[in-house]
Amino acid sequence: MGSKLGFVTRDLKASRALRGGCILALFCLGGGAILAQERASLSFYGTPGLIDMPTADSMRDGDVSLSAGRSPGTWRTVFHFQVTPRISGVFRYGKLDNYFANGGTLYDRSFDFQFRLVDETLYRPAIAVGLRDFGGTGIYSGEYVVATKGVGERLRLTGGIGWGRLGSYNSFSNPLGVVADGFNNRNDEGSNTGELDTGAWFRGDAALFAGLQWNYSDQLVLKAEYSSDAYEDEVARTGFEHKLPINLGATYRFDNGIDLSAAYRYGSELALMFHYTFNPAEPRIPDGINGGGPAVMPRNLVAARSWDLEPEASADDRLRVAVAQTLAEDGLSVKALSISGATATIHVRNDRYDAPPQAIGRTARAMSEVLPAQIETFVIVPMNRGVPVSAVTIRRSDLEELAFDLDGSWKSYSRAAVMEGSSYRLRPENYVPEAYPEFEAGVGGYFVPSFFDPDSPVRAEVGIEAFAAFTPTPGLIFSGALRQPIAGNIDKATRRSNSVLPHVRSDAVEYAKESELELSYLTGEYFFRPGENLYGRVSVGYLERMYGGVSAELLWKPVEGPLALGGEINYVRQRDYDILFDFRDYEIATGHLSAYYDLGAGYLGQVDAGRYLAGDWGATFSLDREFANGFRIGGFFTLTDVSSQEFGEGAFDKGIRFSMPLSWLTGEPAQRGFGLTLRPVTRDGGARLNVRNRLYEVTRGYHDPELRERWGRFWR
Amino acid sequence: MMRRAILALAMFGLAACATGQPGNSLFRQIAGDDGALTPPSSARYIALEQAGARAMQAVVEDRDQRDLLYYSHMLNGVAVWYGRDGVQIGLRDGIMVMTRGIGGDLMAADARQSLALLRAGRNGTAQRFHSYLTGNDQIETRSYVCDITRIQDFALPIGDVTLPTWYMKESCRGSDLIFENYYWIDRRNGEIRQSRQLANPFSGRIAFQQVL
Repeated sequence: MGSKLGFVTRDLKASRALRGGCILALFCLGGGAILAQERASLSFYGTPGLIDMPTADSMRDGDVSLSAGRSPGTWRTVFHFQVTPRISGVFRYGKLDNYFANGGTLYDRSFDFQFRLVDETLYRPAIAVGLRDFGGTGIYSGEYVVATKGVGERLRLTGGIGWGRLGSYNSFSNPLGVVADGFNNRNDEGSNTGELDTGAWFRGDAALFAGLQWNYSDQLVLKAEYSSDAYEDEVARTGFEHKLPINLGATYRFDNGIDLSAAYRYGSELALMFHYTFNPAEPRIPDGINGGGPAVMPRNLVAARSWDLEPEASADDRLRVAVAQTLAEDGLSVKALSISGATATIHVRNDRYDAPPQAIGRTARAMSEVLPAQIETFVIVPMNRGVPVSAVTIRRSDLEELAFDLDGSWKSYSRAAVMEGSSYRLRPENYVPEAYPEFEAGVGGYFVPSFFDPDSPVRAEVGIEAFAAFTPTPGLIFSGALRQPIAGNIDKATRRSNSVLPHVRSDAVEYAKESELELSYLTGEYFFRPGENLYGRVSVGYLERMYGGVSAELLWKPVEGPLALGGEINYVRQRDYDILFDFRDYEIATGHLSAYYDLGAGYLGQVDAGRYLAGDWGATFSLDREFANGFRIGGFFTLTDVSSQEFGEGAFDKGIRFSMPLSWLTGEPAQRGFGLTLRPVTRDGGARLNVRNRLYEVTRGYHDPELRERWGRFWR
Repeated sequence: MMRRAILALAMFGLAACATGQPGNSLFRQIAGDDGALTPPSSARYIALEQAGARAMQAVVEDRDQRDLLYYSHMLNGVAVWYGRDGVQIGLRDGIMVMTRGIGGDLMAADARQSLALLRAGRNGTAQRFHSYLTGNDQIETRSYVCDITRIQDFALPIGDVTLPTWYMKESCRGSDLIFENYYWIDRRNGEIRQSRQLANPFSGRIAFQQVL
């Protein structure tokens, strides 16, 4: 049993208990209990609420809550995200047995939205307005205005008014009718599945609801509510019995984010639900598992260190090798080093750290360990895909001064200069020996989930992936990947696409069925800098699982500032279902103009307008929230000239997406991660080519404001 | 076996401080016993070891992890010590002001007020400031108010030598955290010979003992 100071994975379990402010059992003040109180309690709809009724409470900013619940004849799974301190969004997937007259099951996907209008104060309740199921098939659709107020330390009272489903029990004519007659009638019919039912919002009869939440202890929460939901649909279709408008519930809360809830509902049934809440800004291991890296070395010590080098090498080459060896330990690949007067310029590629400032900080400290004392200025040029992405200038004396400064992170950022990288071209005379050509290969596993097939809502495939890449010269990359499935049931799906559009995406089952060993991609790519603030990419080959062809992209992205603009044009042919070398008959020219805007505070907006794979013209609108640590949650929708009838179920393409850095989960620095895009239905309208290495993602990590947002890792 | 022994010792150490009794039990059986340590992986550490650099014992108390640290260099008054896997710990006159690589790192600290009281063996109140790196890559600087008390004189055995020390306690309170540090200060010159200091909320305390 070895021991060392640094972090080892097996010690995680022992250490996790320390989170939440407790140092040692002896000195613990019960910080975990305080955290539990701050977390709002969730309803059986997976949102802050009582049992069926909502409250005006919000989760903590950025909190993600996953819930799964069961009541007789119903399964419900919910994803809840507190998008901003006031706005929250929900995606819900439910299963209702015996919903249809023939005994068939309803699979329902719904989206909710809540906005907290007013914060709670000493004398005033919090007030929120919300929409339930505003874009789905509409069985849960309802709107509400709700107020919640704490009384004393343990009691929270809630009262509200609901419309739609939330205005169905003991209802009265809509008070908004005094504003306009149109509010008196709710038009539920005629709206297509997936379309926004704006014509029905806050219309029709309304009803009141109320309830209370009593925090008996930090662990146990008791709830009671008067529900304004008559369950008309369920009573008529599934034999649900609505005997009482009263629901009673209890929730047991654990400090680790897990809640277990039980409720006795409508005098007729028992329901159970599991909730798990976490915050992406708080991974288990605060700053990860990683050695100390290089240290800022006083200059008088540098000269004394000797390097094990070939004696016939030139002085500059010795330095190149010394710096490259030092940084290779840290997963940083030095491509070139040049010294001119008191300035050293280094071209370095980060192969390990998901936080670019960490790579830049380690490079700077390694330079201080190796370079002669008279070198005062370090210019660090991060390379990605063979092109210089920016140039960060750091003064060595600032490193020495700020290494132990309490405010060293911000001071070092403010004194560093982040500049445009296009003029810092790689020159062969400055190459580190054997910088090019490069060859890289590896084997790993893959996991692909597939959701919402009514026959089996969760399907998946796992297998082995092998990849290889060859880089003869900077920016030119030949690469490919093979996948061999080992187990899975995606290919067992029996539903066939009924799309009237060309089947540009909806034949996914055919691809899964007819492929065995698959060639995921096989491409030649060239990345280049056509000018200041400009980046270019040309990709040729088997670009993705379903398409091959040619793709070219140009991106304008200044090294600082919120806006970037890009254009991409592709001519592609659909690949054969076996995902090897053959093609099908379908060919299309597709492309987009894109605008990217960093809205600040971690919100990223993007608009892509152009021609999609099925030949439809339109635009995709995306909004993502990205935490500084790289965890990302967002949503998108696409409107094209395909009508909702032609599109089919869902009316238009939309979805939510997540991306989680592997380091968030494991604590180890890594550039890989898990990405997942959830579409209620995948159809052929508004479908885009999935070409690899789009330039915005290749570049922006090394630009401001991203560098600034993660600069805390500069000294790590 | 070794782990269990260290755990027992660590618990004894805690119990000792809880009853106000100083001790060096954390280190008693560790000195000279390198058998259980993993081979070093840091090139810098190996070089320091071979060059015969000064050594110091360290134990991350909550994880029962121990190591022999080697002194690397001094920068701006901070002595930088290396662990066998490349972990770095910075001590300013014996007070921990920096960790790199132990988990939840202490990025920087200012404890000069505490140091002044400790070196003089005086009771008093001091402010100290810690900068931590959060899981969202942000720096959080926390302030703590610390009561420093000289508890008793203590004859501290290190190896074959017994040193006359003051056993002192630093009780710190912040908005989110309460912790206690302990120091054994050489009465002859004010040098911190042995200590148990908070590194950060995630990794807890590290115990240090000079190797003479």
